[in-house]
Amino acid sequence: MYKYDEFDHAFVQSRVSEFRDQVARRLSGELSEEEFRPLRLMNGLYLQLHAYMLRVAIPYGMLSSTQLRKMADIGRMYDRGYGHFTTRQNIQFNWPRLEDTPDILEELASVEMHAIQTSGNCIRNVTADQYAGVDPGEVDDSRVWSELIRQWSSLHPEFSFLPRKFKIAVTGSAEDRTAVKFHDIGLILHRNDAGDVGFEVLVGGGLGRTPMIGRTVREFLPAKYVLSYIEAILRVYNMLGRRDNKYKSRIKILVHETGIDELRGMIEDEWAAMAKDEIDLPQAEIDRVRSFFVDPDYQDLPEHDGGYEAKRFEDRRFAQWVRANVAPHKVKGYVIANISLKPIGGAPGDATSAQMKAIADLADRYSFGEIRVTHEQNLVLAHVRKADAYALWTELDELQLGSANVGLISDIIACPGLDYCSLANARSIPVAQRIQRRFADIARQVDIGELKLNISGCINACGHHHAGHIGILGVDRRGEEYYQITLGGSANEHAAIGKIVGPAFSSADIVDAVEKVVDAYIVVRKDSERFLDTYNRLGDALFKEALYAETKNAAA
Amino acid sequence: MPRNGAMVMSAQIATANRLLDGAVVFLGYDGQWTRAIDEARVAERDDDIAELQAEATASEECVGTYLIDVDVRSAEVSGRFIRPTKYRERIRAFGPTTHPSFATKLVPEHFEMRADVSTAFAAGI
Amino acid sequence: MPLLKNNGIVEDSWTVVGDDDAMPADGGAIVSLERWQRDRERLLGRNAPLGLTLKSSQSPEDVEGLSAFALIRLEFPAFTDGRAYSYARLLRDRQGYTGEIRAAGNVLRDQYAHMLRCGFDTFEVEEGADPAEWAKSRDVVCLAYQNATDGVRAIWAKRHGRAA
Repeated sequence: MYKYDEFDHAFVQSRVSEFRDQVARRLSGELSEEEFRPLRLMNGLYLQLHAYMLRVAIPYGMLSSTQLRKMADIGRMYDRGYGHFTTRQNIQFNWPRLEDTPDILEELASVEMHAIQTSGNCIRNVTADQYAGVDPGEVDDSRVWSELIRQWSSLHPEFSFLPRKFKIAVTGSAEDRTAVKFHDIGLILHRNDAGDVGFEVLVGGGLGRTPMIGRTVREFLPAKYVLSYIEAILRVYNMLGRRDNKYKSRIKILVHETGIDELRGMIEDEWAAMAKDEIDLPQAEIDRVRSFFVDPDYQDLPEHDGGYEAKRFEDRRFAQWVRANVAPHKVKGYVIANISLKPIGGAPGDATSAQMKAIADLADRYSFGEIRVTHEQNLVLAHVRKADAYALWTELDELQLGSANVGLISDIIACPGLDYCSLANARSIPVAQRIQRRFADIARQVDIGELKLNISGCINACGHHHAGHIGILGVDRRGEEYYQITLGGSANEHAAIGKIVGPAFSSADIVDAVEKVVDAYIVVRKDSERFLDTYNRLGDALFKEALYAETKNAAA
Repeated sequence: MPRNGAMVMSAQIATANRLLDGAVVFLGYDGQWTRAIDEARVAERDDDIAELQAEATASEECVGTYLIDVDVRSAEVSGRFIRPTKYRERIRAFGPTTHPSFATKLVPEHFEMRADVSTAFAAGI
Repeated sequence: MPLLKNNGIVEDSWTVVGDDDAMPADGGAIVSLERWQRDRERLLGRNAPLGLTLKSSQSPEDVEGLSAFALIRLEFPAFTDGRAYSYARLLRDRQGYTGEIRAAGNVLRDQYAHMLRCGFDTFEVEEGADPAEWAKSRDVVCLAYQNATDGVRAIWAKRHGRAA
């Protein structure tokens, strides 16, 4: 993984000093809250429902074991013993004290981490594929480009006061695990006929109040121009993005209102006029950063491991875990292991300090000291020998980290919701827990198969409910929590926005409603169709029927 | 109308987050901010409410000040019990329903999930 | 209004002139874009420095005759309105503007470093602004990951010995 050089260290340290000074000026009253707010937001510090919330950047979801241990320490020393992994591969602490935050940032800097630009109207954490570098079908390593974009975007003097937040994702495999088409800029790595690496560039994807799928502005941009091209997009957005209405300020609205062809023209004109040598990196720098993402010291192993296969046969629970949580690796004898942070009845995406420390230790022993965070709020140990998988799983199981549910219905993606977030209309975590409990039986979950269920506590859609196969949106109806169901969303390369299926359900009825949807699918599915496949084949009529027919009949 | 010796009134209190640590606090009778909601200064009449608002907003040790609607129950034995009328404000006042260990006030019916909290916490991990 | 220039407070020798006001006989006069478009010939005839003030919705790319202006004043109606950062860079890098670029409006010390990097020279600041404090805010983040308009070399350029 990337290692800071003296420049990176100095940069982060100076940022810590700056923030320490800004906090002091706030506490002395020299800075008003209005003046301080954008400054603290640029260091990821929110004021939330119960307390401050600090969002720490985990660049493209990559963590070393040292860094994860530090997260555990911060949770223990400055917070309440846990952290929450987010849908943008970051980590959040829910209870820091303002007066402690300069010290927390100091601790982060000591392990090459920070909270820069995890909030505010600036360029946010660049996310990437959690299987980067190990996916057998990868075109190129998305982390290389994410790191280059991360540096370019850090404290960019021109783009620190954008109309609104700006999110960029990079994906390097045909199978997209980053929701790239739902980002302000989505970058899809391709190779052209000559074998050169380049990007398909999409703009204007997003969720929230007006979900939209990104539009292609460039089919193939040679990779070396990625920074200048992004700068051109940002400049056009900075100058033309709406600033009159917070809900119409993202670039997706600019695309929608200007038209993609005209906007593309503006971007291309701006790009053509730019002095690209001042922005685009020399090959030496690209090579330098790429050198941090080379293969670790893999052993030369056979593809087949007798012990692994035997355990899969003997231990049913281990077999279930392999089936749901383990993915194929590009190197023989290795696998990618997903750690589910969705135990039945837990808060999705949460890990205690003790769990984080334990995972760091497991990473050291079984995965070259490296951990990845997924945007679905789980963790990945990307380089596990088949021979070690059973031992790993046994230890995870003892830590309540062995749930065999990745991609299944209980692997719920949920925002913190009204239990924590001041923007929310309804709670999301208790709904997630109740749904998990309804479907707790693992055999039933396996029978249902892949089902991505996303819950957002408000229209800001931090739970990405629009992109869920089943999406749930919490709303406030006459002072009570109600939940609206959407169906048919998808966050992968076949991006789709879920459709509202009908009137919202009360908190008491929502779990039954979800079960009716699932049962309706089970009845009509063909062969090994997933829920999403059935939905795409048949549409929402049968689900509407399942959900609302009784009420209609009762009324009739 | 008193019922079982309890009086119920509708009223407002002032709440904010403490600047230093972000804690949810309420403006008390002595002009101090308190974490205990039952000690909050209650205003019912318009002029009291206006005064409460003014005093709360003027405070420099807190941010994000606003007034919330509450029900006040007074009883001889149990003393005063203040309950925000909106569920959002109850979550804010009493604590996240998913983590009773973080409760600022243990109100049993608020924590419907009390037996089913984060399993890792429950397991002491 | 105090003017911050070269890290010190100086006398402002310019006046902002209302659209319907008479132009001062001499001294630097700053007019709006509307006035410039309306009274261009007469303004050019005046034998004294001319300046242009632009709202955040007015891009310098849409202004004809930029070379007439010794000063371009870019307004920040709120410090959150960041359009003028791009305007300043375009003025310098694209339009080759070499006159004074001034930041006006909601101009705060914590944006000083960004503004300098984008090509601003002078800053209309609040009464009591302390240049030493502003300089501290500017200097605290002394390294940059990008090349900008101020000539400070990006970290990547330093890494690979790229001269200016």
